[in-house]
Amino acid sequence: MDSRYDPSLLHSFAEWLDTHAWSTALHESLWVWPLVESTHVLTVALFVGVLVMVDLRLLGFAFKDTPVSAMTGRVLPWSIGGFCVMVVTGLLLFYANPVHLAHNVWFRLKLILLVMAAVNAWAFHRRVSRDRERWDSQPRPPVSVRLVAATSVSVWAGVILAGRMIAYNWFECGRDQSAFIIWAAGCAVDLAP
Amino acid sequence: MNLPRVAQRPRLAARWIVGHRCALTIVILVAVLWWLLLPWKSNAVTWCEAFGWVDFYREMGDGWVGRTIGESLWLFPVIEVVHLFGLAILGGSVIVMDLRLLGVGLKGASPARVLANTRPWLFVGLIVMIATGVPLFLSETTKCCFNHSFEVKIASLFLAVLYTFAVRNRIAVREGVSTCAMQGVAVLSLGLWFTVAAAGRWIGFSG
Repeated sequence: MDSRYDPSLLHSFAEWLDTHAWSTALHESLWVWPLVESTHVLTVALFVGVLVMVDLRLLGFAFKDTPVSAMTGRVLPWSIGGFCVMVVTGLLLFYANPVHLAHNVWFRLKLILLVMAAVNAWAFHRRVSRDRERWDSQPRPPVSVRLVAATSVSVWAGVILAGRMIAYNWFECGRDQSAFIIWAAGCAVDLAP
Repeated sequence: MNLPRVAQRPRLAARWIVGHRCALTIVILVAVLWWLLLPWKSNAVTWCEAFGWVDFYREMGDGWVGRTIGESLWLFPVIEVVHLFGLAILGGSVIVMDLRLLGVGLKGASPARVLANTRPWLFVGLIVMIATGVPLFLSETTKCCFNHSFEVKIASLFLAVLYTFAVRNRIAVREGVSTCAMQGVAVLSLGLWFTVAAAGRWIGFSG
């Protein structure tokens, strides 16, 4: 076991994944890893891009002449399709480098933001199922709906930010880090400076 | 004739292919073009080298913007993140419009109406992309000079912008365009923008 890390449950799981030959093969692959990573990045245009268009409708900034139900019924499924590609490529990327990612603060922040996004999506569907008929054709939906849309845009922007920052090693365990980072990244305490 | 569902499947597939013959033709055409054009110059010199722009590129990077980004630890990643925000806005507006032209997505609205709603965001996305893309370029001009992905990206970007405003957006507002033509227009648009994005990502992987 790598002594730089705290032997938590997440860490043990990551260590176990790391023993897989396919994980190493994917990590070291000259073409497959870059292709999976590129697919993950480019799908931002499909997943977040189309989702933002729906959110802009909910905010009253675009498609004011189109019912909300048309956007969620006919446009949103494309975004969900993009999300599926994101999950598959994202899991593959985690599988390629599990121990490093499990102790990356940006990756951990991204997971927290993903949970927030899921809660927000659940809140939206609850809100929609209550009384959408009332505001379906309104150019500017009620403030609670706009709040959910604004949260969606912000949280997904945060996910993009955290996701991109994973590539940078500023807060890596093994470098001189503050007590907060050592805690947030789950670095082993005996290596604290 | 009441065939069981499974027996109808080949027929449904055939009908789908006939219904999308124009889109499929353009998909194949774009794929062949990619196959022929992209690996073509991998061993050749870049335009930047061939035209003797190496010094000019280096001088561009020696400016204040390029040096500031180059010397900063976090400026490049932060600009890159905003570049990705631009990708989402630009990509979203392009995809929603092209899906409509393909005959899926917002079928209830006319292509002209979808265009009127997506075009402002296409501009927003483009402005964000260029406003962040230029500084990113200025921070690594010499790398870009010798980078084939960079020249593919810039070339396809010019084509994509020209095509979007001169062809696609004009056809989207025209009455009585055949379904076939609209599908072809949409697939070519998606192919061009995909090339811009994919080549853009590949700048980071190549040299």
